[in-house]
Amino acid sequence: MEKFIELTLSGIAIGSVYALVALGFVLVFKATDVLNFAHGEFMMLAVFLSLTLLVSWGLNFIVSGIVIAVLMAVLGLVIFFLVMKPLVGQPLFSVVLVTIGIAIILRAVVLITYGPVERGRINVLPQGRFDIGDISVSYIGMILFGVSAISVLAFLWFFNRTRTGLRLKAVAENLEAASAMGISAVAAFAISWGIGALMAGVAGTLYSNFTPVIDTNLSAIGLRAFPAAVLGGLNSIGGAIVGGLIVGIVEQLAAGYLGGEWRDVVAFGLMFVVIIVRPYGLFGTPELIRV
Amino acid sequence: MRNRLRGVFLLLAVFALVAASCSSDDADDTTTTAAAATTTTAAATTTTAGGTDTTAATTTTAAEIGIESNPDEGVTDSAIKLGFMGDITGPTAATQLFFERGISCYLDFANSQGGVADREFELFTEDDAFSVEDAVVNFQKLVEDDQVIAILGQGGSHIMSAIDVDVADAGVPFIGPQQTIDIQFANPYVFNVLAHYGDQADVAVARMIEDVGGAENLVVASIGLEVASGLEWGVYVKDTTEKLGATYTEHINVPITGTEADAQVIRIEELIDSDGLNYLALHGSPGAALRVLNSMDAAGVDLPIGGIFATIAENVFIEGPADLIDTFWGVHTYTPSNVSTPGNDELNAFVAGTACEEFASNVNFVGGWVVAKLAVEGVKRAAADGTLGRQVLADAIKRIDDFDTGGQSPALSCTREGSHCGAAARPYEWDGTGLQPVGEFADWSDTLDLIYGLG
Repeated sequence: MEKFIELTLSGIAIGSVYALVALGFVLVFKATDVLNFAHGEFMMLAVFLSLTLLVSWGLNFIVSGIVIAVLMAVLGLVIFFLVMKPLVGQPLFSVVLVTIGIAIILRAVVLITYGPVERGRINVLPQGRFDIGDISVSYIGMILFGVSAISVLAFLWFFNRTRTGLRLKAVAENLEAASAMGISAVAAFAISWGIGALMAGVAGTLYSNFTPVIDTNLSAIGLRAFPAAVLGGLNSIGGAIVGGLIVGIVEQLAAGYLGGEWRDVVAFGLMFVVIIVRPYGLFGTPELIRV
Repeated sequence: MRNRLRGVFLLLAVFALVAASCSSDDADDTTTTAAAATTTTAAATTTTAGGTDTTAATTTTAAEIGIESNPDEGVTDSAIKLGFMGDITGPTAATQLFFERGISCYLDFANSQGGVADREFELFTEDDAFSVEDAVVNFQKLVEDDQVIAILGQGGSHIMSAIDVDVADAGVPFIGPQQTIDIQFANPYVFNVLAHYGDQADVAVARMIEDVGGAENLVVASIGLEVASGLEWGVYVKDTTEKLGATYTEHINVPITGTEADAQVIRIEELIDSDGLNYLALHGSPGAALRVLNSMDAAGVDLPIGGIFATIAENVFIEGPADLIDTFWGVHTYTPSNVSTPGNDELNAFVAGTACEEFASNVNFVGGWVVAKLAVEGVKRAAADGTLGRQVLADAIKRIDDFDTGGQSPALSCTREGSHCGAAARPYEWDGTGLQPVGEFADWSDTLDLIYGLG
């Protein structure tokens, strides 16, 4: 039982990061119908920016987090206006390929800037552990979960309570109707890309204090967020959060009980099962087309 | 107006990409130096205890002067073309880039000594980013388009397995891959320098037994990346451990796509409690080593660790957790450049103040340097016979016996079965500033089981 709880807590910590990344991924998809395969690279870039701001420049964690979030949001906007906006209305395959191209360029930029040598974890946040009975709990895991929860709540508040958020929601729900009501689709798309990248920035800042090694392989987090998003439902914000946590927990339990080689098999296997049973995910809604 | 601006941005981006790729080509694909190409005799010859020449291109014989060009096999009027294929930008770049730099810098050194047979060495580097598909294409390019005389380096047992037949068919000497696996011993054109994983496991387990005060006290588990070589490492550690009367528990996989090793550390804790686990045998890249060490540290698990060669890169000791680094050591065939030996002194003197200097402290840089040194020695010997080509070079390397690298590796004897030129290893420990060898290579040779080409 003790092992089960420790694995679950570890899964919740890593799942919180998956949830944040999946949230950005789902937001962009929901608003623009674009599967952004560069989202993992956005998070990786944020981790490396943390290295510069927290370690090299010695900035405060919160200041650094805000600067990175803003920089990432700007990057999201730049990518939208320079690359994605001209592709609106183009075939899905072309758009997806472009996001893969963006991922390759971001990896190359990081490699050229930071070099190939791996760095260790950033230890700005507390790294110790505390015991609850026989259960050992890490501070950083709890911080990761707490900050992720606050970020998700802030995101939901923005999406449901602010005028801009409601406009985004309207565009995501029904583009034609929203446009007829005078809501700018381009502005909504741009904001979605900005917020999506910002969420990756928040996730990266947090994860830089959790990951044991910082290298370009961190973009693989994007691959973990993908099943999380699909599992929860690609058009469901809440689903992305739950999906992220489920994938994190299932991965850790599989690795802990069956061995590391089962980690991916179980996570992606679960995704297949859910897709077969509920093609629109656990919390997604089927798209109805009237003919 | 906005469309025009976008056009300008796109144009700039295209220019930037083209410029980047051009400069990358200049930097990566070909490395030459400005050494004079007319020298027929060279600088001093260093003789060491082993009695064998340790400098690069030291003496050009009368036969070499009249060497005919053989452009189809890498010998032009002014250059001898060598290739490097490996991971420069992918997941193992932190190891392989340094290896490539070591090769490149040694060829610069050899050129500064006058090259061989009135010619300079030229290096053609091809990046595969650890991808088999890219590596297969790179191999064909080096052999057929660049027409190199030999290929150096190459890391990734999956890649070596994929191109093994092509190497034999092309008859191109393949010198010093960054792993030594069984399939390479059967290929007459592959010359292995690094100790076989089985031999590294022999040395590692022997060191562990020494540490815990006897085989009966050792309880070891292996942990490594979930790739073929990781599983092999587990098997070799198990075999050696059991043969020596110690206890082996199990192999723990670390998925290559993962970013932490928390679940694996929880398993380690279980083994400590249930089996009395007191040592870990670690496989993987520097990144994998950091992943395991930092995950253990975060969980408060303190256990001594002995690693395979690729885990003991400098950055692991600098970036890893202090508590675990104190008891972390690894096995290697090459001697890091911070350890004074005749070969390393020569290396350090040459790289000082050059672009090579920033790479030289990494042990893999020395690996590349040694492999290039062996290749140049082969070229010298082939040239001394009056001709240069792939088969002639392969034959010449096969005759190299007890070649002293100036203490940068064990003496290289390519006359061994399977052209296993290196074949030895010893442990290295971190002293706070650099890796230090634990004894001489000969001190650990008794621990090798002589299965993998030694003897």
